[in-house]
Amino acid sequence: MNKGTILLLSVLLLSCQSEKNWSFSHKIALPETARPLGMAMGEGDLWISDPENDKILRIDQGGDVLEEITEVYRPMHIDRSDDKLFIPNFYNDAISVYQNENIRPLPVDAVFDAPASVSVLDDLIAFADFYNHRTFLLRNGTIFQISQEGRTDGLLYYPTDVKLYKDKLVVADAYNNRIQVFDQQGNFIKVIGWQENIRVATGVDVFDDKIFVTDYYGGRVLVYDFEGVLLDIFEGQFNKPTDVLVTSDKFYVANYGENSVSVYTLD
Amino acid sequence: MKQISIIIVALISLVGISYAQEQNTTLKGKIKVQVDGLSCPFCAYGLEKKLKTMEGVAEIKIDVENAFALLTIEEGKTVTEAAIRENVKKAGFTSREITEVTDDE
Repeated sequence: MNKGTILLLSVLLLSCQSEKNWSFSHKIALPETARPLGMAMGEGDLWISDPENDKILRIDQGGDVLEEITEVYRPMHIDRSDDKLFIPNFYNDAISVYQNENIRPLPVDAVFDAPASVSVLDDLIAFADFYNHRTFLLRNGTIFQISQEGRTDGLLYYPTDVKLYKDKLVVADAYNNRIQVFDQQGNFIKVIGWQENIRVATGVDVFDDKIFVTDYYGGRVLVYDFEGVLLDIFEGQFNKPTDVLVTSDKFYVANYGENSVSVYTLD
Repeated sequence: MKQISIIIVALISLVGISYAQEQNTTLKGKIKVQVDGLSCPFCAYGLEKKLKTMEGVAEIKIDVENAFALLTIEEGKTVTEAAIRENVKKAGFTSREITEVTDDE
C-alpha cells in the first residue's frame, strides 16, 4: 500500500468518525414521585440523586430501581470513583461516602454552606460550595479554596456543579449563566458559554475534551470545546435539565421537571 | 415654618413606628411567605435550609411553581416577620407578602 492510499484511507476514516452524530433515543422513566437532579455512572447502571425525596436511586437502563440510599439530605450532584459514591448533602452541609451498603461522612476541613457538587479524579476531590460562591479542591488531606463571589471572569455566583477533567476544573457557574475553567492550582483559564444566553447553568460533564452543560430554563444541552467554541446544541427532549452524564456512546440528561432521564446515543 | 417641620418629623416618626411594628409582628400556626425569584431546585432547597434555622419552625414546604414557602410553627411558639424576611434575604431572595393561613387555604 503506497503513501497516497494510506493518506486517502486516513482521510476517509476521519471523515466517517466526524459524521457520527448524537441523536435522541428515549427517556428512562423513574418512579412517579422522583425528581432527578444529579447522576453518576455505575457498572452499566445509573446512580441518581433525588433531593425532593431525600434519596439516591440506583437504576438499570430500563428505569427499574435496584437500590436506594435514604440517609441523605437533599443530595445534589454526585460522583462515583472506584466503588465509592460521593454525595454532597445540600441541607446539612456534609459530604457522605457510600460503599458496600454503608454510608459514612467524608472528613473535610472546610465549612460549606449548601454543598452542591462533588467530583473525584484519582487523589483529587472538588466541591462546589453554593452559598459561599466558591469551590474547593481536596488533595491528600489538604484543602484549598478556588475562586470567590463575583460577576467578572474568574469569580463565581452560586456554583452548582464541578467536574475534574485531566488537569482542569470545570465549574457550572449557575447564576452567572456560564461555565468557567480553572487549572488544578486554582488559576482561572477561561469563561465559556456567555454568548448563548444560558439561563442557569445547572450541570456540567466533560468527555473526550468536550464540555456538556445543561441550561435549566432554556431546556437545552450545549456542547463546547475547551477554547469555548460551541459545537452543538440539543433541545426539545428535556424538562428543566439539571445534569448531564456523558459516556463513549451515550449521554444522559436528568429532567428535574419530571420523573425521567433523557438518553441520546451516538450513531 | 416651624409648624411644617414639626408635622414632617411627626409623619416620618409615624411611618417609622408603623414599619417597626410590622417588622416585629409575631406570627404563629401556618405562615405563607411569598418570595420573588424562587425557581430552580437549588433556590428552593436553599430557602428551605435558611428558613429551617429559625427557632420554632417545625416544617417547611416550598412551592416553586407558585413561588411561596409555607412554614409550620411549633405549637405555642411564634416567629417574627423580621426574622422571616432576614432569612429569606440570606437565602438570596426578596420576601413579599407574609400572612398567617388556615389549613383550608
